[in-house]
Amino acid sequence: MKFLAPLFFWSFLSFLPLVAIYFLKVRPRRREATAYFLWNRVFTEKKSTSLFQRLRDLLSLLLLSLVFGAVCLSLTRPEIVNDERKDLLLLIDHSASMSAGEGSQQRLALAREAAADLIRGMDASQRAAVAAVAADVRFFSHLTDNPRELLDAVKAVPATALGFRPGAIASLRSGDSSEWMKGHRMILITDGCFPDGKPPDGVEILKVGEPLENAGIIAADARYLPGPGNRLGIYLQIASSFRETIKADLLLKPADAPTIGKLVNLEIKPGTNPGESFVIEEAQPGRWLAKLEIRDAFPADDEVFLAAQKPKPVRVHVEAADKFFFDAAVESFSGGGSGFLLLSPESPQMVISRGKAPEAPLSLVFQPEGGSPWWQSVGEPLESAVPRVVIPDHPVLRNLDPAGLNFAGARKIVPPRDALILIENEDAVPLLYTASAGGRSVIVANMNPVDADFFYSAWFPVLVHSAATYLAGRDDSLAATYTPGESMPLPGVRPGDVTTIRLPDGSSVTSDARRFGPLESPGFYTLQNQAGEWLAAVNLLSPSESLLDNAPVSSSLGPIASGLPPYLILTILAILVLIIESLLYHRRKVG
Amino acid sequence: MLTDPSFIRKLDGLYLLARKVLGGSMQADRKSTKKGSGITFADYAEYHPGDDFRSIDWRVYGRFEQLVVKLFEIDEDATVYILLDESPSMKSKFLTARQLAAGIGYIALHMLDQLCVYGLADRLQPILERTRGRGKVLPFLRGLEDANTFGSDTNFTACAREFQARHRRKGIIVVISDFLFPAGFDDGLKFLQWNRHEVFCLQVQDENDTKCDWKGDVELTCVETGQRQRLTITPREAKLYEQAVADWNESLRKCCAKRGIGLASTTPRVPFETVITDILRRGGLVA
Repeated sequence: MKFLAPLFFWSFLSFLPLVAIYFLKVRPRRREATAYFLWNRVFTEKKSTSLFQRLRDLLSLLLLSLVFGAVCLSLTRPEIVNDERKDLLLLIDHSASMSAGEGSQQRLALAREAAADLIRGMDASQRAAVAAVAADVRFFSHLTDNPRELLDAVKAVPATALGFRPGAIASLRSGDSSEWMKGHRMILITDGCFPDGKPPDGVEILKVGEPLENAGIIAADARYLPGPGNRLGIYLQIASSFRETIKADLLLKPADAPTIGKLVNLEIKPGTNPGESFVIEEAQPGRWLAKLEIRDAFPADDEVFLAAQKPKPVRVHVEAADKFFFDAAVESFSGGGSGFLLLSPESPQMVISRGKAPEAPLSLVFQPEGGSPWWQSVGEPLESAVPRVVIPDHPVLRNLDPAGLNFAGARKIVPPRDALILIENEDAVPLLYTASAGGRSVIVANMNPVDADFFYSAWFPVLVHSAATYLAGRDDSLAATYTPGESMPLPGVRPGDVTTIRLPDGSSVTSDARRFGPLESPGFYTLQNQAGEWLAAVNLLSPSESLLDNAPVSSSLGPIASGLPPYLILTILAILVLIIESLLYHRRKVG
Repeated sequence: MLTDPSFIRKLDGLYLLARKVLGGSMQADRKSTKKGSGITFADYAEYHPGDDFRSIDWRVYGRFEQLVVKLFEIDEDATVYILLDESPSMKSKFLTARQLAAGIGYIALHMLDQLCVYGLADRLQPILERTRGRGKVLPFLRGLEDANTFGSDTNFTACAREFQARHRRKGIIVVISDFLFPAGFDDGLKFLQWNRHEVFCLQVQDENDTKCDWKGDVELTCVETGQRQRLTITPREAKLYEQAVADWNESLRKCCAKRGIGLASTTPRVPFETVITDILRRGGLVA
């Protein structure tokens, strides 16, 4: 037993005046009798009840004490530990599968009705909060016992294209919310379409909806294939909750043109089908659609948006004596249709130099010498240049084996104050660092590539590529599609740059970050900044949201409120005892 | 007040009515129920040896050949005793009781009877010693006016014995009381009658005596003894009490009827002159 308002225990103190008042109140009225002896005759017959007469006042006091005690105790809002009547957190699943049709209604509408029924069924003392869950948990009401507020919150839960993420609910039990959750029951009103087929732990399930027949695209990608021409490769994977194998047409077409790229007749088996690749010859970069021509319960997953775009190379110029090696390193990432780097002496974005630092916005400097804003001083050669990786996950080092690099010819160097050291030696002398100032950025490799035989190392072109893409903000290239809830990189963003993102609904937002998200609406996104314009796409692509057979999941909802709350029982008891006492009182006073 | 001119005028009216009803204006005007040697014919009686020859009605013998003697009412000098209940139980009815006593006493004094008035409670307390004559009316009324309730009980039998010890002369005893005597009234009445007094009971009860409007928890206090008791009075108990009072009054009526004692009952709501008028019209203080 615990008490929600133990302060009201002080109300028991008023019991003392109550007893005093009661004894004053029950004092009988005095009456003078002229025929007292006749009264004695009348009451001689009732002597057997005289004991009850004497105890009756005490009994009345006892009853009144019971009433008073029950009222005081009910004020303290007692609650029985492990009682089912805990506060409720109604989690309404508003993931994409909840938008699937269920007869004339969507599953989300059924969930809203189920939540409303729960709220209407709660007793007046029970409190609840309403939240929606998909990729994360979003609260629509605070904890309240006001049914109207809760019903309004339920109505306000929107449909989303997000996939269900069980971790969202698990996060409620960690951090600041963990203590709060211990005293509450979480009821997840869902269609039971979970990623791993299992409901989240610690949650009671109230399932809505029946198994539905649906087929949808659960994975997609689009890439231009290496080689000549514009050969676009499209990868698609389809899942089906139909009970039998079905046939459907898959239409691949550019979104902005009336032409058809390819029309394929597919045989879709129940469950998750193996992925298939399709090649479209002479496909123009831009917006592409892959559409499954089928009539099923959830049309939203029948179509995917694909951003087909060729990579934009980082233009590089070499200002070093050993130009041959550096050009070869750049060309190793520009040929074969990869197009990551491009030698461009006319309008370079990045300059590679050896010795002196170039006056370019982006530069990669090997074997620094002389004065430069990118280092404060360059001193004697180091005796030991055994590398120690400071930031192993840095994009520049991501594709390297930094501990295996040879930094022969490295010299004692003092980097600028805000430099980011990536690799240093045992004496904390930087061997590889990056710095930015005045809209310019540099990566300094403190080594002599000749002494280190670095020109012959496989890591040399990799370092050049990594440095170029990192400095140009292209270290994280755009994928053909993202899923709701994810974030996508904003290519070409350098410190201070602003990217304008046009959303599928036509509205625009700006961001000065290197990533944008979480993404919500499926469709095409257009990104524009100083480095150029890019295209991105967002699609549902979730097996759990497309496979709408929720038969394996069943409701596990316990009773919401069994019986009356203790305070209400106490109040009813008080009323009953008060009725008994009032009858006794009436008998005493009125006879 | 009992000495107010208006009250005395009422008493005068009663006296005039008494004269008209009872007749006579001389000494011992009051007619006795006893038959004897007076001058007013009352009845015939069978002759028995030893009876006065002079009273034989020879005319009747001549017609019916049966010896009968004529009986005459005795005009006697009667004594009227008033025993006025002054116990605390009479408090609410005391004025009425005193007015009744005043009315009866006034008539008696004007009829030139002897009058003696006592207060009755746990003992006897004189209000007016035996006296006679119209000139004693005012002292009599003042005595009544000054009378108060007293005592802590009502013992009628003891008072009757005490009265008899003081006054052996036969007379008419008017007991004005509620007759709610815890020890009963039977022994007292019987004792007085055995001592050859003519007894008349004038019962005065009000609604407090006969009805019970109390309900619920009550601390009942005896108005005379001060005894206390906590009771819960329900309608059933109230009804039982009212029945007990009715039974008590019925037993008084039966007792009086059995003993040939006159009885009149009244309440303070009935004007005293109405009560006395009614008594007079019924033939006076006779059973």
